[in-house]
Amino acid sequence: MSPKGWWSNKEILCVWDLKRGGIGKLIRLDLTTGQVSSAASSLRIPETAMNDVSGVDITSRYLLIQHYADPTCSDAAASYFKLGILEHDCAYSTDVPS
Amino acid sequence: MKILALFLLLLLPNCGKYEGAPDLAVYTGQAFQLINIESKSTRIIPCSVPVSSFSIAPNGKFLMFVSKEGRSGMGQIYRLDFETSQIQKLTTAAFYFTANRFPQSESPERELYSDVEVSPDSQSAAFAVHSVADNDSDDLVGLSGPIAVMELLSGKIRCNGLTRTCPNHLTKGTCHRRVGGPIRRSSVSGI
Repeated sequence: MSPKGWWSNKEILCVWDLKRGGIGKLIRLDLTTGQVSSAASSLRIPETAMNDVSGVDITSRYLLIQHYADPTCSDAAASYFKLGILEHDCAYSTDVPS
Repeated sequence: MKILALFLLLLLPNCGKYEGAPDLAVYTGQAFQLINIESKSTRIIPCSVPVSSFSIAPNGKFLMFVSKEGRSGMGQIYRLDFETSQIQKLTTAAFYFTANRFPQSESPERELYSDVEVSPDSQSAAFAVHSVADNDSDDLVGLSGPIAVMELLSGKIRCNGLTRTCPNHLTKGTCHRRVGGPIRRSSVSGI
């Protein structure tokens, strides 16, 4: 399990990589309670976007989730999530921010 | 009043960030290049320690990095202060995979770390703890320990024990875990 980014000062987004290689399910670790849960529920992102995650980057405006697209090739897909949209519980967007 | 509000709005994004904070850091192999986009200035800080990965503190005062040791690409945790250019090693002795915690016969060769990330308030850093045998078993299974969180002011490290086992409500099937030398394949037993 690898920490990939801090969602807040008390929450860490981690990748649970059962297959190793740093690719796995994105989960949330709450440091105050020590509990781990699916990142999808807290981030209001579709559950499917939580699988095969290879990297996460968090800024004040965006959350970038990088996915490992195909085991037979090295291409990686990325989804961008606008943090403001997440707070308002809207559908996620895969548009690349300009 | 409107002008004051606009002034505060302009200041807000840089709140808590110190004046000489770089916008970008690049590791070149022998040094860190700290780039300030607005002033177009570049500062180079030599780094004799091979770097595997790094994370810049949001307050712009330092970065944390993991050194690159052995075949696993994991290493020790270091802090590079931008103001003094000093590099400080923050991990020395093993704190999780210790002989006290694990039986002597299963004690791993050495404890290494990866994936350091600095918290938004720049007060803590999280990283993954591994035990490494420096043989083929590292490539096959690797040795996941818990996620550790270091308080940077005190140097105090606490581990999240839950992250060492596979939470069965998130992952179904089996999890791989090796304790010490031999590789073990253990069933998920929950938290």
